[in-house]
Formats: sequence, structure tokens, C-alpha cells
Amino acid sequence: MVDRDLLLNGMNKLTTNLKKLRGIAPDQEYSEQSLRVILASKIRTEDPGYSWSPLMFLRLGAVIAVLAIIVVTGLRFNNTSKLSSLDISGLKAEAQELDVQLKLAQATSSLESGGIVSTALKETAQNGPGQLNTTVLQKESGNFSIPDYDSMVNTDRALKELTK
Amino acid sequence: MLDGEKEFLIRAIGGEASAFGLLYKHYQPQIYRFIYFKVGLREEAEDLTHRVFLNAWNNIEGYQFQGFPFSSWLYRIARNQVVDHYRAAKPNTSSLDNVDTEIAAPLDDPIAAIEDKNNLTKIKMAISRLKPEYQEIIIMRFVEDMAVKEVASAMGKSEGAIKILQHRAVKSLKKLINGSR
Repeated sequence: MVDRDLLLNGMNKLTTNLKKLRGIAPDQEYSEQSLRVILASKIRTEDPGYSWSPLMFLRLGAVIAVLAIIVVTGLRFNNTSKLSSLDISGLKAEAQELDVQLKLAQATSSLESGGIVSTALKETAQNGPGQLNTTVLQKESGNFSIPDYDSMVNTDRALKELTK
Repeated sequence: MLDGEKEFLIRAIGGEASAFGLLYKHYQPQIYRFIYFKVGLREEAEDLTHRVFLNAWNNIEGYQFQGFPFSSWLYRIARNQVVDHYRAAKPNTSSLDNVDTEIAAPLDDPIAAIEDKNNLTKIKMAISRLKPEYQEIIIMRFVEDMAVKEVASAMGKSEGAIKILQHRAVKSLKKLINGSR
């Protein structure tokens, strides 16, 4: 009988009856409980809690990276401030002092060489012209090289300084 | 489509539980019906509906508003959930035979109410015997009164394909109802 009605009224009757199926609904209590469980599940997921989830490791890594940046930046700033506080005049004074020490060392060296030269001159004066013997000179010239002009001039200068 | 749905969606994507709650209250009954017609058992329908919304809430950050109602996305999740359900367990196709029609019948005419109830029970049984695609078309187009465009989005098909499927689904449903005389 119902089927005959459906056939007589055709599509309209069918669609009307199909819409009535919308009355099928889930249990209200189940629906509310289900919603509570669904929403609570995500809150639990988002709660960091005390478990070491991958997200926690990422957060810890980020904190360490930030701390490292702060430390490195702090050290660099400290070094820069040390450089900026350098005493240029003090450094210049130190450099000049070094220069003076070098000159003193040169002078000592000149004195020693001057002493050797004066001894040689004395010996020449005492031994007389025998030192000018050509045979001896030729023999000695084979062992010694004659100092060039510049070194002789330097020796003269050193002697002058000594006399001062 | 729910009034102000886009606003609720933006808030839900941002993690606002109350906004998702509103979407749940609006769409949960129709998703439940969709699943119920396909699995045929109330408990299973409740369990699968719960999983659909749980899945939706846990993945809502990935939802992209493309002009379709939120229901299109929910129906897609529901379809996958039902497929997984059938893969995991053997379906009980005759379960609707034992389920009372839960539709509120008019009390002023008891005879008409009984006829109506019988009528709807037969329709429910006929729907349960349809091919899955035809079931979906009948439920979405005629029970839920969804637009062709919306159904196309939910089923991942073109509007033309939906119209062809709808024609075949109605023809099959009529045949099943006539055959049950």
C-alpha cells in the first residue's frame, strides 16, 4: 500500500519521505559527551606537561641558541670595549722606549768593535814599519779581506762617537 | 551553510574550542545520519561520527576555506572513515532490519503515523541496499538537501558526474522500493 503511494506520487512523494529521514538524530547525551572528549583531546595534546615531546626538544634548542647568541654577543662587546679603551699615547711611549734600547745595543756593539780597532792601531805603531813588509802583507792579504769604504766610514763615525 | 561559518572556522583554526563546538553542533547530526545509513548500526555510527569530528578538530589547522561549506570537508573525512571501518570489519548489511525508525511521527493520526513509519523503514532499508556512491548521493541531495556543487566537493567529483549519479541513484532506489512490495 505504501509502495503504491510512492509509485503514484512519483518523485515528489519520494523526496518528501526522504526529507523526513532527517528526523534521525544522534543521542543528545552521546553528542555532548563526544564533544567534550574531542575538545579535551586537543587541550591535552597542546599542554606541554612534563613529557619530552619533539616540541619540547625544539623549544629547549631554541632557548639554548638564544643563550649562545647572548653570550657570544656579550663577549664580542666586551672585547670591543677593551680595544676602545687602549691608550695610544702609552703605546707610543712603549715603542719609543724600545727604539732607545735598540740604539743602546748598537752603541755597545760599536764600542766593542772600536776597542778591537784601537788595539790593532797600537800594535801597528809599536811594531813599526816591519808591518809594512811586502812579503808579510801579501801573506796576510791572502787570509783577510780588505774592508770596503762604507765600513771604514762607519768605523770612523763610531770612533767619533766614542771620543764624544 | 552555517551563518558566519567562515568566522567560526577562522577562530577554530586558531584553536578556539568554542568555535569548533558551534560547528560540531551544527554539522554533527547530518554527519551522524550519513554514517548511520551506511553502517546501519547506531553504536557504530556514533563511534565513527566521534572519530570524524576528532579527526577534524586535530587537523583543522590544515583546513583551507575554498568557498564550500565546512560540511564538504567533514563528509570527505566521514567517507574515508566508513571505508576504513569496512576494511577493518565485515559489514552487517541487514542491521537496519532490526532498528526502529527514530523519526517523530505525528500523534494526531495514529494510523497515518504507523503507515508513515513503515514507509520510512522501507526507504531506509532500500537505501541500505544501494551502492555506496548512490547512498551518498541520496543522503546528501535528498535527505540533507545539499546543493549539487556542495555534493560534488564532498565526493570529489564534477557537478555533471553528480547529476548523472543522482539520476541513476533515484532509479535504483525506486526499483528497490517497488521490488520490496
